[in-house]
Amino acid sequence: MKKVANRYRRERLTIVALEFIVLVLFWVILSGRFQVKYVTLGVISAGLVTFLTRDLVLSVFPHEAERDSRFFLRIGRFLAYLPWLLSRIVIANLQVAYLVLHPRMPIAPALLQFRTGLKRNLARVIVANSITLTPGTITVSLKDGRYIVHALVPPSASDITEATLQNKVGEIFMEEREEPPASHWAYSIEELEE
Amino acid sequence: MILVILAAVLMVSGAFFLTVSCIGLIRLPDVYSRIHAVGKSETLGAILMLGGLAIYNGWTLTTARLLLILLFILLANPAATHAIARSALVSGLEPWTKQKKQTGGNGTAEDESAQQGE
Repeated sequence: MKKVANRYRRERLTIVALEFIVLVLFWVILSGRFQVKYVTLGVISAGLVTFLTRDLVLSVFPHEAERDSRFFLRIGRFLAYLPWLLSRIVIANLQVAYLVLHPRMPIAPALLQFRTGLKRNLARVIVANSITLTPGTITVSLKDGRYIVHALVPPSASDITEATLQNKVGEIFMEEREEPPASHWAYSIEELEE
Repeated sequence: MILVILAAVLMVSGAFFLTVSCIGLIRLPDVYSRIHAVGKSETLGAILMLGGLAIYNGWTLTTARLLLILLFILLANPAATHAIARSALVSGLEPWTKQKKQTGGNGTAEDESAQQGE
């Protein structure tokens, strides 16, 4: 029993120490001065911030029970997801540039409602932020896995309606693949389903 | 030399997307679609612009700062965009749609903005 408690304490200490180191690095990068005076000030500030935010940081990091070897696999998969997201951002940006610069501006905005089968909140938030980062679509509302998305033109939401995005994020968290969601297009607030 | 050219290409394309986002802010009809222009074209514009500056700078402390700015933009941008869009929806603002303007005009987006006096 004591062994487990010790390991728990050591783990918490590691996380807090990591936070402290990151904060000191942050200070040094931003200040760019290496005299003792400035670095000491930085260490004191970093220590204070670490002390004040320790509960928050500890609650964000997964506990040992939840964290298995898959934790690092997930981080790796998330990093592999970023280039795909970047490529979508570039393509979608060109589309929006075309729409905006077109003399007749052929936009047809609409609200799209759909559900996701993703279970983890983090996965849902990543989907929401990816939608927002991809031009042409904005996450307007996310509640209990139900999204309301504003799309500049309906085709720009094809990644969502075909569940490509959801499955890419699902892969990171090793969740089940989902079928394309039943999407509901609304053209005014009254048409939104409760 | 090659790095300078690469940096210039990145910065010019970044400037292009930032310009597009400004034009979009003026041309698009309502809050929801304007957020698309401001919050989004800006994402790529900022990535390209700061990336170009970082390459131009080489490996210095300033580059590290630029990359930090980039990271914070990528984190803050979707959150702020979402906050604006959500508050618009919660306060009951109707989205501009193509169907409404079929009553008048010749079917271009600009007619609607003209009718609304924007």
